[in-house]
Amino acid sequence: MSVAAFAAELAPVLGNEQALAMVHASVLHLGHRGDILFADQQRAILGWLGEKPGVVGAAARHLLRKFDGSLPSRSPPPGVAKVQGSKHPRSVVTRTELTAAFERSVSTEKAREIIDKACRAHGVVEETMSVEMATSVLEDLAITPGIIGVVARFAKARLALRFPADG
Amino acid sequence: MHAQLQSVGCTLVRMTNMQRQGASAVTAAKCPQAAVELAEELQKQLGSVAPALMFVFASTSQPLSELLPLMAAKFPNTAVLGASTAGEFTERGDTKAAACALAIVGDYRVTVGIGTQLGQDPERAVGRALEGQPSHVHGYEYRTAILLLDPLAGNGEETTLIAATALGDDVLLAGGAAGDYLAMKETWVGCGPQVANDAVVIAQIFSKQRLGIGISHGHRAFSDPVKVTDAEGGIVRTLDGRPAWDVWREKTREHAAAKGLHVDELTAETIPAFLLQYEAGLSVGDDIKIRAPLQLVENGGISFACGMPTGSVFRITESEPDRQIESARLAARAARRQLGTAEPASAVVFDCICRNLILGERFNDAVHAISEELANAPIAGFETYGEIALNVGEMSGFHNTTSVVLAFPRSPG
Repeated sequence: MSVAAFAAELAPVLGNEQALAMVHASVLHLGHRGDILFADQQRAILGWLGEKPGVVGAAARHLLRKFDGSLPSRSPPPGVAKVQGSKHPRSVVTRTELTAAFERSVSTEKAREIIDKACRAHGVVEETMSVEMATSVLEDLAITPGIIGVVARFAKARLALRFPADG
Repeated sequence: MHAQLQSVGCTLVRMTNMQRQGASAVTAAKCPQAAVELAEELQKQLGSVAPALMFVFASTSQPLSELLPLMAAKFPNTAVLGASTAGEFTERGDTKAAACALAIVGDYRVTVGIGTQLGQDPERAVGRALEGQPSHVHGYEYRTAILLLDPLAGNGEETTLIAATALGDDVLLAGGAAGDYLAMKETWVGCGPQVANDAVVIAQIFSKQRLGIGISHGHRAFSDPVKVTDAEGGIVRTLDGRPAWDVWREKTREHAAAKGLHVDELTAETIPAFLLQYEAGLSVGDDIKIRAPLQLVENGGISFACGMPTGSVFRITESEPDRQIESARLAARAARRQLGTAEPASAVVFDCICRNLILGERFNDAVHAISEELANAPIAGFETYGEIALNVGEMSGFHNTTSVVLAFPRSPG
């Protein structure tokens, strides 16, 4: 997708000019080159914009949530079905459960902070989320260097065992 | 205030084609008599069938904090939502200093919640409003969300996006920002017995038939582009590097003078109404999205109904009465079209106070235009400080000076 087309996705909220300016600033900040943005670059831009306060952050997180249903940002791990845009999640996972997975390795406050931030980046504001969403949250954390990444990978594996894919 | 879930089911009643599936009522009485009159009128029209959902819109003469709990008590098996207004109307016409209600009968499942401290933490407020609400109900294919919020929290657009993100892509979203007759002091929203300001109410309507939504504004941009150079949340301090109010007066001077308005003679009491006639238009694709300025703040800044990020570029707009009436008609027509082959049973309308200011006596023409397009089905609505509408898959949901019509389909007999 071109930079202009990607900016047009944000324009309904920010307006044409502001959307283009924000996307250009993001591209510069993240060091992308060229006029074409691939899926992972789009995701990175939205992730970065999603950290901003107010309307800009909310718009980016909303768009990221929409993209999560259609962007194949990474291959689904074995044993976990990647359900695209599922209307009827099989089961739910709570933030408390995700936080508990990290509490054993970092402080409770730190664990909450990590999970809150990761959930916010995925547009999750409620206590409960689908298994698919929880997996996406953990996948993002899994690439974090150090103990956080290790814990996230273990948590993701346990989630897959707990909620095996159908068929 | 912790969110309270009110989950109401509606037993399917075998209905004939003559069964009313919607009813509207209006009263100028004060509370508690207002509740008595509204309830009696609705029950007279609906008979013994309990509505699944009810909207109550109250002027400052019937404080929502008094009226809504009374209505909830009279209809214990109904999800009752409400907002304070800047004006109310039904298919009979526009009213002032009144309260109106719309009752919807049909095979719906409705859940509702409220979240407070909206200004401080909109994510948490939305989370609380949605807490415990299901994302689907077996057997009910369609999901429509209603959002009522306090615009004086200053984050209407952000809250709408947060809610849309949380609700998911398959949801139709409609709603409005509460009003207070241009006092700009306190606006209220509520569900059941709970009424609060600095709050957001989110209801989900699960249905077997699709509801229809229509959106239209009648504005035209006339100024050259203006850039927000210093803003925080909904407060715009400077435009093009100068105090916002100075720029606004400069850009609107000629157009206002042509209508007999002199910008240098405006006072603190008349400025809010003036600002609502000359609103900001954000270029979005080939269209414009309207952003409503509400009042002056210190040092020449202007407060808007939603966030105006620094760097935004817009043009100042105006609208003529005929365009306003036509746009109301178009919104209703679009809502009816989305019902497909179903006839409209009722509709709730969120219409900006700005229309009333622009149209004056002719606002009734806009209400009648909406009613005609919906085959004279019962409608009720209120004049808002912001309108919310998001079709499935769309990006932006918060509008100003726009008519949003949400139509409910008639169930087959």
